[in-house]
Amino acid sequence: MDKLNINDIGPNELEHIPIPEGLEERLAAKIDAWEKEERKPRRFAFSKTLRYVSAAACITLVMGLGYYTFTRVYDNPTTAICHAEQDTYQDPDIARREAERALTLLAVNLNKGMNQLEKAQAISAKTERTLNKQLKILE
Amino acid sequence: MLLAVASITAHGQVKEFERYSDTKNITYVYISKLMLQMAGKKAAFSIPGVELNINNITNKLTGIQIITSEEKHTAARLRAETLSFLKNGKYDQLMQVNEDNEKVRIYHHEGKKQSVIVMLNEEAFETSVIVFSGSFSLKDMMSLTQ
Repeated sequence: MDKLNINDIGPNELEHIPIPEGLEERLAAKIDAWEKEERKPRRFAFSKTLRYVSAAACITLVMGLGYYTFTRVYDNPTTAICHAEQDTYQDPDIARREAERALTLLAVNLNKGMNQLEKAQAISAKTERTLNKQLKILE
Repeated sequence: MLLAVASITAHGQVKEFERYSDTKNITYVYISKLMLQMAGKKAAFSIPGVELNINNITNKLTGIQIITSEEKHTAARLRAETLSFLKNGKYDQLMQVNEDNEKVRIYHHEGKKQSVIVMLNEEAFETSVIVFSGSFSLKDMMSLTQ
């Protein structure tokens, strides 16, 4: 028997073709099944623990890489020169003079403050002695 | 973020002051730990009038930043910004010396890894800030006093 092509069948002839029994119910059941499938919540690809472990691993990796880079830069004398490039002075003598100047200023000002403190302590001690003397006389 | 923090410690510079490295009318000087070590190897550090061996302190320094402005408005801005930073940060004022037209304030912050001493020097039209960073204690710094 020749196979019928659906495009060759006219709309009038289509109406006369009998619908197989139970087709409607079967189609409805299939559509319901697809709908249920769509509504079903998708399972997470990773469990919570696995996600935490992955996050911790990522952080450890970043920290490890950071530490490695940091220590390598510091341990390697060639890269240490890169740090020197950030210095204002390339000449150690000028750097020493400037460092000495800065430390001198700090020392001078610290001394100024401490000298005043010592003076104040001396005055305070003298006042205390005078006060005690007067108190003894009154007694 | 951790790398950023590490880089601050590695360079021995207080980030807040590092931004003045490229500011108009401000002179910014930075001396690194490496340069301090190299300078110390060539000749011992000495301060006129201070007989103590200051190499003990310089060995503990990781950097010195010197920020100066001699322009009236910039100097005032530098002073205000420095004071604001010191007040908002965990800095304790150690000392203030007012003399003639000069005012000197010394601040200190002792951290677990890095300690900082900031000296703010104000004159009529000039402001200078000297920042000492390193792993030193307040006692180490006070050894500079006679």
